[in-house]
Amino acid sequence: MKADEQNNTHGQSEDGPMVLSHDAVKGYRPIFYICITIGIFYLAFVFWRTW
Amino acid sequence: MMINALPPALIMILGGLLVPLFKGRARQALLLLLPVISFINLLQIPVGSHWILPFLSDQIVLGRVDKLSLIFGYIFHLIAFLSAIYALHVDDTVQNVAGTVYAGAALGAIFAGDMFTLFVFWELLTISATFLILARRTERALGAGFRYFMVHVAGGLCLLAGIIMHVSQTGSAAFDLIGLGTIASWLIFIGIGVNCAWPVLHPWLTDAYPEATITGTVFLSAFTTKTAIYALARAFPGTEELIFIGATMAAFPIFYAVIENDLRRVLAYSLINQVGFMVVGIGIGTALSINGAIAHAFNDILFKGLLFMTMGAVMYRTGKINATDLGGLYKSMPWTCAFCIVGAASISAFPLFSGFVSKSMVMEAAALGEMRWVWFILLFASAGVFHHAGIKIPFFAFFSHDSGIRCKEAPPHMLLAMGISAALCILIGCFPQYLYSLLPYTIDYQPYTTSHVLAQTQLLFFSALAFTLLLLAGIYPAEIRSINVDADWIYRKGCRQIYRFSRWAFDGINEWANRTFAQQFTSLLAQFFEDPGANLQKHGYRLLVETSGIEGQHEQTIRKISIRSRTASYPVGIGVLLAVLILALTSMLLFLM
Repeated sequence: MKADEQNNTHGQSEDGPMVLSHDAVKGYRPIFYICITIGIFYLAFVFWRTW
Repeated sequence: MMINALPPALIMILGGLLVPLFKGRARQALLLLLPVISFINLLQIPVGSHWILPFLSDQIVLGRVDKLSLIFGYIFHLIAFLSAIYALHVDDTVQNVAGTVYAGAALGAIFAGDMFTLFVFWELLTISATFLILARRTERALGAGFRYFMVHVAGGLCLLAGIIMHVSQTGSAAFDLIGLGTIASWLIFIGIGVNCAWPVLHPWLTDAYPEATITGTVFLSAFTTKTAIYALARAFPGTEELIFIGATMAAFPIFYAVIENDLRRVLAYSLINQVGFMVVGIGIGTALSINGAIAHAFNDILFKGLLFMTMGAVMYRTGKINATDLGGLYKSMPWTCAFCIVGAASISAFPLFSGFVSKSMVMEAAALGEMRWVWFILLFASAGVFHHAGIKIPFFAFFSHDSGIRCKEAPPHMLLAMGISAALCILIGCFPQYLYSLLPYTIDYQPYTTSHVLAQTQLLFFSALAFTLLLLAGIYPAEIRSINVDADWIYRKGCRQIYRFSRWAFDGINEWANRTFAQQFTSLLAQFFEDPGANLQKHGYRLLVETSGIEGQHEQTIRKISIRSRTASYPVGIGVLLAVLILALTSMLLFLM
């Protein structure tokens, strides 16, 4: 049995990267906003028809 | 009626306590056999109340067997067996004993026919679970275990107070429908709510579960919250407050889960989210909704257990669990990755996976009850759970950026446990009628209608689209290694402030009392009793002079009084007067005392 298994820490350490950022891919931000806008209008339409 | 069986909890608890006597293969065999023997024992118990013993003026019932308790009994045995397979490599007496006793305590609670038995097993759950957390033996686990214990003891005391009040008011300790209305019922309600991880009462779950051992978390995810769900279904079905509590539970953890870096903590938030669906189902209180809640509890034990197993396997092999550290593991751990995707599809309620056949029951019940807002919140929660548990967990662990970690696949016993769980998730999703036949109410429900399948598929695909676009547009929040303070602010920060304020206030009072009574007052008393007779005369004389306004050689008279007192040269009359006064004063004091 490994030492880190014996003491149950499972070798988990606090070192490692602090942040894993997600960089934007060029051109996708406008697509995102367009989709969000369409989504909001679609949801509003569904509510208007069904509520 | 004589039955050839033992009380349902007995085999697991006693067997668990015998575990330290065995070593190596014998211990492994015992740990695997205990749930099997206990399950066979359960099958021998007919429906009804058994092992009824007199207790005070009432009676305790160790085994109340009906459809509601039986379905929980089946799934608890199943997950105890799967967890035992998963934990086969663990040669740690604390974990082995605590895990088995914990499962036994949960069985005891769900088969309890009276509230005193329920309470005893309820507390045994807390104690054994605390050991599962402490068994990791790290400083963080110690802190989390301590907080877990404190919160659950507080909840247990609340429950006990409610039980005592309820029994004294109604004269019955039977654990049946209670409903809200009295203070006693509210106390029981809140006591159960602590174990159910209601909003604000929930931080123990997200605090402790990720700090427990790899195998301990698998056990923990199955029993405590589901026992609470059982208790709510038994005592508070149709309680309207539960709808709002459950809807909040389903919605708020999504935001925390999205920003959380520790993947086991993401699953802990996801657990609250799924329990929210069950709480809503019990709150709605129709046959369909309660069946939905129970079915979802059954499924959640399997798919949440599976997800915790896969993340445990990743942690076991890599020593890491943060999204910032992981990625690209599908190459090294393909089977674990595949099982994780099955668990993710099940929790996200993909058609043909287990979550779909139970979650849709609760949502259908909300829709049929014209609860539009509740239905909408549950819809939002469904999208959210796909987002954080369905996509985030497999994506950041197995795909995303390549962390460069190359490790071995999970050990065979872990793969076997994960494989059985995954197979059951698919089996229930494809053939839900087997699960439905175990539910407490007989209903005719068909999950695979065109509208159900289409609506759910739309929801999932749009949710996936949202995740992809958020990631590509760079809007998705970065994974940051940090502690996200939740409602645990109350005891992490708030209690510290209360402690500081109390220390300031009480230390202030203490210092003032010390200065006034211990120093100044005693000093004055000492001065007075240096020459009490003269001091009494001098102050009396001054008082007389000031009130009467008589003018004269007062300072000289006062000096004479001092000299007379020191030399004890009083005229006989004044001496007698003083003696009488002192005697009278002493008598009065004695009389008053």
